[in-house]
Amino acid sequence: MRRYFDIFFAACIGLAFAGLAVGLGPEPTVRWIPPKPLPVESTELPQVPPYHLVDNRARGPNAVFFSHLDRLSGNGPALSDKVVQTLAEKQSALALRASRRAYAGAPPAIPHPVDANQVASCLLCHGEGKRIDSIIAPKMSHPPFTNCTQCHVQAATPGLGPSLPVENAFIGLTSPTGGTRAWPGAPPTMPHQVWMRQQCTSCHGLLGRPGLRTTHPERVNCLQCHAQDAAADHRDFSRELTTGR
Amino acid sequence: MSQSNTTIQQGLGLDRRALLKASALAAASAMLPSEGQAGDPPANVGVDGDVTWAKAPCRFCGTGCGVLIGTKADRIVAVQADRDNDVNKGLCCMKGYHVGLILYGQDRLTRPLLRQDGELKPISWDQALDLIADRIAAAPQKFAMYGSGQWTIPEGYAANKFVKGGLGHNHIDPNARLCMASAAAGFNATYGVDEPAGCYDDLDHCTVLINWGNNPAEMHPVLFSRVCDRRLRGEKITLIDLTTRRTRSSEQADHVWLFKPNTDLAIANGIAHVLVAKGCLDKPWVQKHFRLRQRVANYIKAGGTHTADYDPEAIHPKNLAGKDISREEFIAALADYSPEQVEKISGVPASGIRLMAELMADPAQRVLSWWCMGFNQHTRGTAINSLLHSIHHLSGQWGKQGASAFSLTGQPSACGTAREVGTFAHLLPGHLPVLDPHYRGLVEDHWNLPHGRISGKIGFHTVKMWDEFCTAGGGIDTLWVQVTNPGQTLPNRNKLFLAKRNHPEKFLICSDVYPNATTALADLVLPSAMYVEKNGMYGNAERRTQHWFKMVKPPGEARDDAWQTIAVSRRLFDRGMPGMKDKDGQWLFERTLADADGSLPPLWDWDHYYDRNVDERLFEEFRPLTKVKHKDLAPYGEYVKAHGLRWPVVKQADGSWKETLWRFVEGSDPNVEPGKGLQFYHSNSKDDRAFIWFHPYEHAPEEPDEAYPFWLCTGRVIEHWHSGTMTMRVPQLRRSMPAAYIELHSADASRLNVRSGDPVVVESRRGSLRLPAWIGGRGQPPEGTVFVPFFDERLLINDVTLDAHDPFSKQPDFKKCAVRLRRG
Repeated sequence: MRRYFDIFFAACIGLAFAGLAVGLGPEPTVRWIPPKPLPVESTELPQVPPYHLVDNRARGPNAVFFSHLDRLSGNGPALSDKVVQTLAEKQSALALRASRRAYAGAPPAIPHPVDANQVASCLLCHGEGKRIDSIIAPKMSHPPFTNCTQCHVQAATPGLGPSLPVENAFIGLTSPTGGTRAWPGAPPTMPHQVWMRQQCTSCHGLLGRPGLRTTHPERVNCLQCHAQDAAADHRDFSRELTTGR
Repeated sequence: MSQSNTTIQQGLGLDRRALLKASALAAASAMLPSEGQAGDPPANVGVDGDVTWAKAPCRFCGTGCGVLIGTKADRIVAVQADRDNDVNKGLCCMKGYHVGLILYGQDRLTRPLLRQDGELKPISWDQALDLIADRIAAAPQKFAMYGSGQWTIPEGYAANKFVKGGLGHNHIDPNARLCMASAAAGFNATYGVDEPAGCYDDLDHCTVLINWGNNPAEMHPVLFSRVCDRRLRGEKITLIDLTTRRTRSSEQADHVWLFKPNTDLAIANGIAHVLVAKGCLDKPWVQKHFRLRQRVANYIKAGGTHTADYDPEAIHPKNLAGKDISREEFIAALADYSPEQVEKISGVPASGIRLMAELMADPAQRVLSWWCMGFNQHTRGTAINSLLHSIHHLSGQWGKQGASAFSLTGQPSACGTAREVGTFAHLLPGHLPVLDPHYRGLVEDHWNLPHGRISGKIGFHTVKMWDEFCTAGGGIDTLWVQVTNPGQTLPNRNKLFLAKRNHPEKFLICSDVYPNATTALADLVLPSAMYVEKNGMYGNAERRTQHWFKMVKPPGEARDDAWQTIAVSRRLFDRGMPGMKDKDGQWLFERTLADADGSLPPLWDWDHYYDRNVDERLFEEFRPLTKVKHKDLAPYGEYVKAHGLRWPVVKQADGSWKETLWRFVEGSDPNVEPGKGLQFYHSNSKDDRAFIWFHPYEHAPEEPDEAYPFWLCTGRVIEHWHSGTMTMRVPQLRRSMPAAYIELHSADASRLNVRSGDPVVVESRRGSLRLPAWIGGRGQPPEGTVFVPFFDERLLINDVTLDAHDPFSKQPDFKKCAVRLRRG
């Protein structure tokens, strides 16, 4: 073992001296060897594009991260931050929600490319929710399932080319804008179903959009004060679901 | 009439207002500084509050999820998954959640159209019905109907009675022939009666799940999740994915074994080989309940050039049930299928074959196998279906909660309408074979027809029907298509569909909801009501019959398919056509539709069609026939109340109706005699036993060679259903999957010098197609294999596929053929 080490050590010193000699010596003559011409079919060999040409659109809403690396922050608001709700914020939050759904209650479309099929890659951001800069990856509103792309459709699949537009005149149910209050200051009732929205904090928690975020995130038992709507949840068993015409 | 015109105009007015509103929103949302993408569909505006919710099964696949449809002002405004439906328990897939949008594509067909000087021009319903009646009256024997597994049960029943009871021949076949005919033949060959013994409850109890060439994460996502979600609750499920390419389902699997196309029979035989070596044949269970069976003769004729070059005698329908094989012969036949040999044939490692056999032989496990089009669209489809049942019989993984061999279906009523209503060319309602004079007499009596009216000759099956139609002087000259799109879905389209262009004397009638590849060649196009624009009933893959009521009015002059059939029948009766009369000279549908007091309301007149519940009357007439093969259905009213019931549904002492979860199993199936344990009461061998089959592995009719060196496999994607006529009009689904593509392995792609998005021409001996390449996309085929989905009407892969078919089911092998590729 020792012998090998000696040989290696000697070789290193030798190389160092040789390098020094070459570096100090006169410039060697450089003979240019022209490269062999590429076979014709290889002229279109795929080339990796330089970074500045990488299409940012493919990153979807996350493109902003790459131009604002300096002000990225992974921290959401603190529990103690004061929340002031404005009507404008609420309307803008509801409009954004609406733009991603065919109707109130539809599973939202995925506004970014999906290039991994495993549920773990979805959970990385949507498991607990994430906020980076102005981008919010909401926490799932429902308990985890194993096949996210079963329900959530990609807003667009890049690379497959344009599709002929076919107009569709469907007009979806609007989101409710708020529950009812028995008197000013009373806790509002829940204006939407609870099924698939068991995780209130998905929209109303700390990472919720301004306008939808709760003013009292320190309270964790939402259903203690906010009454459900049995009809919205189809749990009003006194009512017949089927109608004849 | 004037009243209904006003309603139509109001309807159109609402459409226009709605559209204006929608466009305004689209413009407004484009200006929002949101992260929403330009061109987002106008979503989520316009309607709120006071929504009426009603139940329906989903319109799309054979899973049969329950949905709640929310309507307001005669329009669908929302959809929810039905939590009270045991199929999906409150979860849908992306197609189901968007099912309400399929009604509102802007190019809905709203008027009858007749081709005049090459162009489709509007005519009245009266003219249209007269034209059909003229064509039928001129040559009733040369008229055929081509329907589908999307026909509602009453629609299919009306069409079936019209053709078989009225016209006295059996030229009616559903597109289910291209979809699950092999599964039906496999059940019949093995149990003597069609349809699965198990049900979806097995998904909640299995400990091992084997995907046999199916990709349930995309094609039956709700059922696949039902299994995989159990893992989140801490349950251990071994998931084995046998596949010809890596898919989304592979991502969830413990073992992914790629096999060479068509070698599934070798894999099943390999498992049987190991099971036999483990002594499974000696188990009392096997000896008591099963017989060993093989085919009567080699299917390939002497000197045949390929696997589908059949000997007509060997493949005669009477040979479906095969013949007995001795224990020694059975063992000897399996000797060629040691795991090592199967590895050489299929590419599945010998250790994998052994592992599957070990799991199946382990009584502590509950093994569930499932499959879909990979088995059915196969020139040995009946054989591989039979083999799968067999390895479950042999191992004892059958008839226990979670242990089953389950055939999935692709259409919402492939079981209900194609199989139970018997809209196949060889069946009568109740799944009764037309070849049997006893059953013909029974149905004739039920319909009050003179004996001899129903023909004992099997009608043209799908491929034959279209071949006859597209051939000069062929046996069919008028063809009426309802609820399906054969212009896209037939194999070898040039020969079986497009050739119609050369025969102006042939007349193609097409009832549909949107323009598609079929209406493109049709001479007469009839606008149909779709989905919840009409009453309906569907039967899903687990024998569950589901019901819905009409919720919104159809647009313009669109009308129910069942009404169209009944109206034509009435017109022919009024003209005095003898076939449209029963033996008392009354109209064929008189007894069906009459009130209790015997008077007949004019239900053939559209203005009066909904004066009575025609669906209920058709269904109640059909219902007694379901008892013959022990597929008892409950009265219509029970389905109105229930969120689906699985047949046989049997009345209890207290007057309630009870569904059946597991057929042939004592304690679950009321038809099994006490003490029998298992009883196959429709056994082909008449001894209450089912079969354990041996079928040899044989080569595919076309395999890659020097000229055509690649395997082409075809399939589907989660976004689109069937030929995309509906889902391609849903913006959310269409934007996610806008066009068909060809999946390639990266090594093949670099040899061809193509990158994702580059055009590739895929070419077979029958046709060619130019598609964009997708490398490392949703699925990853192995080297030497490419994959193309079939939903895109602009990129029709069926110009390339094969029309060789299974000897018994007559189902073509769409799934695989040999192709060559070049950069396009």
